[in-house]
Amino acid sequence: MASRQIISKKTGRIRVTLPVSVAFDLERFERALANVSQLVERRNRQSEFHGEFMQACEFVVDPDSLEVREAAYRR
Amino acid sequence: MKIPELGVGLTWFSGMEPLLQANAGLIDVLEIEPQTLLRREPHEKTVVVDTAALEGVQLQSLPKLVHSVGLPIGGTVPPRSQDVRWLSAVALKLQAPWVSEHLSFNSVEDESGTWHTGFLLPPRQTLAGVQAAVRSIRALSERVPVPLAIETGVSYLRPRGDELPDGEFVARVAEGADCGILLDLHNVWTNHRNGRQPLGEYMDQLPLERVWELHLAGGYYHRGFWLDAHSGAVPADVLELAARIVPRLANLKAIIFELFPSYFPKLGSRVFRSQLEELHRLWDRRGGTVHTKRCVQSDPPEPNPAPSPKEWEHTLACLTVHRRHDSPLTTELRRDPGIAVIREMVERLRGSMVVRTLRLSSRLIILERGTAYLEQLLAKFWRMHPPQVFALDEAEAFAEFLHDEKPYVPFLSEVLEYDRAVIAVALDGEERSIAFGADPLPLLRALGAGRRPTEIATGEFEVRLTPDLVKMDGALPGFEVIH
Repeated sequence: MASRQIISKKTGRIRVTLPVSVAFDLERFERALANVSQLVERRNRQSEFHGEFMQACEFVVDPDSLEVREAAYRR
Repeated sequence: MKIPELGVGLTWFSGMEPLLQANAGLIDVLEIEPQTLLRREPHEKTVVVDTAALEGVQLQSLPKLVHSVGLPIGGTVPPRSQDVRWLSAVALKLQAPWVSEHLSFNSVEDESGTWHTGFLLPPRQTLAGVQAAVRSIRALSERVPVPLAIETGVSYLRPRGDELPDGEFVARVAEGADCGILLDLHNVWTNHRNGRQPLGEYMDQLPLERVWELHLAGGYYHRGFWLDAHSGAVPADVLELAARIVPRLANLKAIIFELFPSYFPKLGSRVFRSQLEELHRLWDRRGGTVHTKRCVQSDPPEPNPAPSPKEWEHTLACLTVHRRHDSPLTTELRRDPGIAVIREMVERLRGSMVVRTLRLSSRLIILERGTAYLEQLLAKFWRMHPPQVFALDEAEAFAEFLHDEKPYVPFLSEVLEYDRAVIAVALDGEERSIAFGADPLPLLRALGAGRRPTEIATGEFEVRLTPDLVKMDGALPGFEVIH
């Protein structure tokens, strides 16, 4: 079995908001999460470039387009 | 009793419209299993008919039959009033000319209450068993607003010397209850093939003028048994049997081809169409004149031999679900190879309920520890928890079991919470948040794609699931049907 790498990342709290219709359909689920990952990575790179620590943020998946937008973090 | 001629049909499932369009002209009637339209109220243990699902069926212009698969009427426990109420409502809404149900049992009553066996089991075939079945049928037929037909069941058990022959049992029950018969030729053929009553003898004992409906289906061999699996084309021998019997059925009103949706791709559209054409040729052979014959009936030396129907049902149910029960009958039935087949079918169904409901958790266990490990966990679970009617309850009980069992599977508790939350949000429409100590994005993505998660970042994460419209199409696990 392939070994697993556990990475300790220094990030703020991340929240992903996912409509349940997307969670139900594994194909759309995979595409939506790929879109979120892409956005998180971009956000991480920007933070690193500016020498900042990525702040808490929220990513919201649109149920129709599966596009992701960054929202103000709500506790 | 005047009931209309309907023709050749299929068991309905959500999303079958393209199939109906592609075979327009070959499908005259749809048979609805009403349990597939049920939804469990999220915070209660009651069931309701899902209005949207029912309306979806009503939109189909073809005539509809209602074939119930969860309120069998062959045992000592009659259907509950609340179940009869929704069944009647569905029959009226769909304008079904008759309703059918199985001559079997699936629940027992004892000091612990009423519990579910997870499978339709064969009733006690004695005169006392006939009386019990007649009482159950009357309890249903008196409250359902349309005529009722009983389906001839399948039994994987060896025939017993102290029971009435299969055909005679059905005949005595149908006549005692004055109801119709849904003759499932694949069930009868399966019983014969597995060593029960010969076909000719069975048919001679049946009051053929009571047969309103035929079921035809396919199956396969497993561990030396032919299984009634609704898994493909109707075997040639069954078609041949149908060709011989249909001309004798003067009151035949419908022929239904039963095929589980998951087997459609394997069967292929060409074979499927040719099966429908074959069924139409059979339909054209149906009898015209009623021959009411005196059915061959035996004279049992001991009319009501022990065990009683209640003891029979309790023992068989206990053996099926691994409940501790010791009696001479238990010892005797344990030696019957059919018990292992019944248990395997129950466990296969329960396993599919768990795996389809706790989708990512099951994948995680398999990917981390292997399929054999999941099977080992499930086997322990089967022995500790009785079957549940609803997939959700089965999955919830398994989730609780995993919570107590604490198997070594990294990230299992979070993924399990996520799986449970997805179902809960879809059902009650209330938002839920799941906290993750590891990045859920690579974890859930990998599981969604069926891969073992390999690179996981730790941190503080949260997945918030918000309600929106879930396209049902069989995705949301509800009532499970096996028969």
